[in-house]
Amino acid sequence: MLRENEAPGKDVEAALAEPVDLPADRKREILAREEALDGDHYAVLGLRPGATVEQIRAAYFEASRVFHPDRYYGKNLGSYQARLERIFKRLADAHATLTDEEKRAEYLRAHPRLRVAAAAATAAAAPPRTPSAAEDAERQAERRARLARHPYLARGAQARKLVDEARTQLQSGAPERALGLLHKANKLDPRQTASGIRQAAESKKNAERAASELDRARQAASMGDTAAAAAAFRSVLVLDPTAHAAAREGAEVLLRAGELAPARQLAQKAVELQPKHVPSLMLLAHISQLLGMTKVARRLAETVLEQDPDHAEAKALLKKVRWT
Amino acid sequence: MAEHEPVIGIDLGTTNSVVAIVQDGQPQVIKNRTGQLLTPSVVAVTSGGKRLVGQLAKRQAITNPENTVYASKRLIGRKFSSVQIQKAREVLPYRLVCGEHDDVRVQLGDRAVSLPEISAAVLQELRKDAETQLGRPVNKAVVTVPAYFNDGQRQATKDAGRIAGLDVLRIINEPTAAALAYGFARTVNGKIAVFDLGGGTLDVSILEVSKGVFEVVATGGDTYLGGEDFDNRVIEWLVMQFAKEHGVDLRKDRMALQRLKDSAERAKMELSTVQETAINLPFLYTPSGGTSALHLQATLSRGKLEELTHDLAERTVQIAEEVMREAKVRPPDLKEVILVGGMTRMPIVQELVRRHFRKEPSKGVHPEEVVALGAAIQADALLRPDSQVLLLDVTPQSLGVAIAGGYTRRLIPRNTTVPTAVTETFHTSRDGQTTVKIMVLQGESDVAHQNELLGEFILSGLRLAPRGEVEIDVTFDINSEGIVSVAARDRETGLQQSITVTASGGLTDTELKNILEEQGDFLLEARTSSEVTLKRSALENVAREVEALMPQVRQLTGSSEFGREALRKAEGVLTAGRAAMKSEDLILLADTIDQLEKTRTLFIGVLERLGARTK
Repeated sequence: MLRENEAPGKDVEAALAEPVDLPADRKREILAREEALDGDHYAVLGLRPGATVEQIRAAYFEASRVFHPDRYYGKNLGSYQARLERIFKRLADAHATLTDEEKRAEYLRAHPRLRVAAAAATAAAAPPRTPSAAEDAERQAERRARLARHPYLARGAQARKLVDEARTQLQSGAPERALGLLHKANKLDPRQTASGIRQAAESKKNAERAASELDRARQAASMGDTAAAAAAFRSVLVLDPTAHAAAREGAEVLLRAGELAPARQLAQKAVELQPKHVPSLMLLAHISQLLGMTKVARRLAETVLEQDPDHAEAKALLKKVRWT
Repeated sequence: MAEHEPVIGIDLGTTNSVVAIVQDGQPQVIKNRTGQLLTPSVVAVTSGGKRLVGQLAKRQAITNPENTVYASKRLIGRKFSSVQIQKAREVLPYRLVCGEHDDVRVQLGDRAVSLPEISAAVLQELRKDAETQLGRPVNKAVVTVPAYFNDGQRQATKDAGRIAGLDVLRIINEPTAAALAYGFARTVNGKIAVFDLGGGTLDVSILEVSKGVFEVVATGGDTYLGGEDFDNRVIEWLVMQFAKEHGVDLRKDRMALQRLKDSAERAKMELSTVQETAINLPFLYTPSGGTSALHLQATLSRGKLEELTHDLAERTVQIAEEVMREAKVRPPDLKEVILVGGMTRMPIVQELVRRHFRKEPSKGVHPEEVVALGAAIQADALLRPDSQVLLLDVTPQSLGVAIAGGYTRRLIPRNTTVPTAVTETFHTSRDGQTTVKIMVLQGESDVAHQNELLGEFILSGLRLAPRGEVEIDVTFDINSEGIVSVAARDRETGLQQSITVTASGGLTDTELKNILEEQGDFLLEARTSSEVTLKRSALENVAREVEALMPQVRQLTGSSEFGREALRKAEGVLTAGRAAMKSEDLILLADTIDQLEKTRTLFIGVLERLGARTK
């Protein structure tokens, strides 16, 4: 790390005589470039002030070919190893500074003499032009485009795009995908809640799931698996609290299996959902009667007969419970 | 040095590794001993204590999941306490344990094996393959790592090379290597982007190429985003399906998980060419209690796969966008976009890249071989004096020092061309401060403790003065070998302190030495035994030939004095040969083969001269 302080051997003769794996003219080239390191960034690259970015780049690449330490990998370089590293570091620094607009401006501000020279050189090369109206418009358009690419705004735009996509997904009947997209959009841009679409998608999704659960429940019921069927019927009701059919069918299944208390719960639910639905009323009446709740059963049978005065089953039930 | 010693280029991948070399100016991939170009980066120890590497290890992974290490590249050079390792512990079928220095070890049998040793096993395998193909010893290599690897991960990879008996000339970045390989055969001038999505990592690099000089402009990526993450999504989906159907959580069954992993990967790869694929895993799970085994049957479509992994694919291009922004490069500035890594075969990835870079990605390179070829090209460029190729590489991460208040002051920003040196002046932060501590940090965070500490030292003996009065020059230097040194100098007194940063790859020097010694014995043995086998079979072949020639020779020359003499000698040589067959002495074997070959030449010559040979 003392390299910086190891002054380059001023004695060129001694350096040339050093027994290293380098031809004499390469040694001279290295020593000459080392001398130039005292100069400005342009001089280091062997250029005049005001050189274009392309020229700077070309000079840097050309010089790298000669002075990058990797070109002499594995060779005995003696003091030249440090010389090469020193030269290349300066080359890279000069290149990085002069090819970056901001850094170059700053560098030229710090070196007024160079700035004058550079300005003179560029002025000679290309007379300054006033931007035309067309160019102005072009620049404005570019600025707007850049603004749209700004992370914050870009996120908003992206989120909006996702919401649009969610809407189409929902319309084409894929509510789960729509919800996924909405979730993503919300993560990108928390303002983007799109609650209307979300609700629609959620209820649609629940309805779809409820339908598939109902299928499953019916299947289980037909195979005599009461427990599974009852669970599935109940989850239908969780997904879709208005699913009257699930309540009624669930109650029937449970009744058949002799599980009266849970059966009554579901039957009750069915009646609540459709207070005038005769089969549901009858079902609840039967269950209630079996549970010994005769008053309830009687009232239910009477409700049925109000709707359908000729309902034979209701009449029979009423007869059964009237005198108890 | 007309013909320099062979130097290989190695792409040490997360899932597969490749070795290549430049021969007669042409870079080419070296096939492994099973004839494959890709060697799985898998290391296993069998119940008998035998070590298996590559295809052999991968093939037995299903039946031996706990002792089969894959994707170890994701763990190398990381701290055991890091989030990534803790996350990895939950999903990996093999066991990770904590080493002495918070480094990660893998419990294989009764040994806790360090990760450099695991990688070394793969490197050693590749080295042997190269030696077999070249017929010469190979001791030097250029190894690639993801661009985003930090110093610790690079150092650990270097350690792995040392354990495998390889002098690692350079560690270069994978996308850079890809660009080298791409630009090698073509005259490209201008900016190119490399999009490298491999098994475990994503790397994006922008390079400027001009007549053989490759300048890395910017590089970035994510060390935890790759094909395995896509596989995991498929695995999760399969596990969920299975749980729904049978109520069984397959993740608890390591063997089932391994089978799921294999078929998820296969399904993903198949879906790059077909629209739908079936996943059939019979007898995947046997419930306890004697009920019959459960099978997994599923159909995965490309659409479903894309749905499962869409956010991952999106993230890859977002990272690419960041790198472009940093490089101040816009899509129209790019001459070429090169796709590297097996994952870029996935249509959705290609589509997103196409849309993002607004350019048809180049198909001119083989995504899985290109990195190893580039490593070989760099190896060749370093050692060949007349090479046209020069790589101007950059620092992968920023370097700086911790300053008062717990912040970072960056001295060398990332993507700075190396070698480089920067000096900056600092002041004391307290009144009467006579010592300063220089903490060398690597990373992009402004908060000091979120970066990685590469080393620290103290500069003392400063003048007693109010704060801010004493000035200290801090110099960071990275030489062309990539070695970082830091010096602090008191401007007034000229007092100076410095360190050379040697990031540890988790192994201490003594540990490394011990491993090297153990390994040294093992290596020597392994090589001898394989060479002995070779020589023995050569000996057997030539002995059989001589024996076959014997009756003819006897018939033709048995009557002459010369003939009897020659026959007696030949019989002596054959007897010696049979004795040598049992020996393990390579020199004796070689000598005997030599003598037998001479005898054979003599016999053939005699027979030809006498016109008895009808051929």
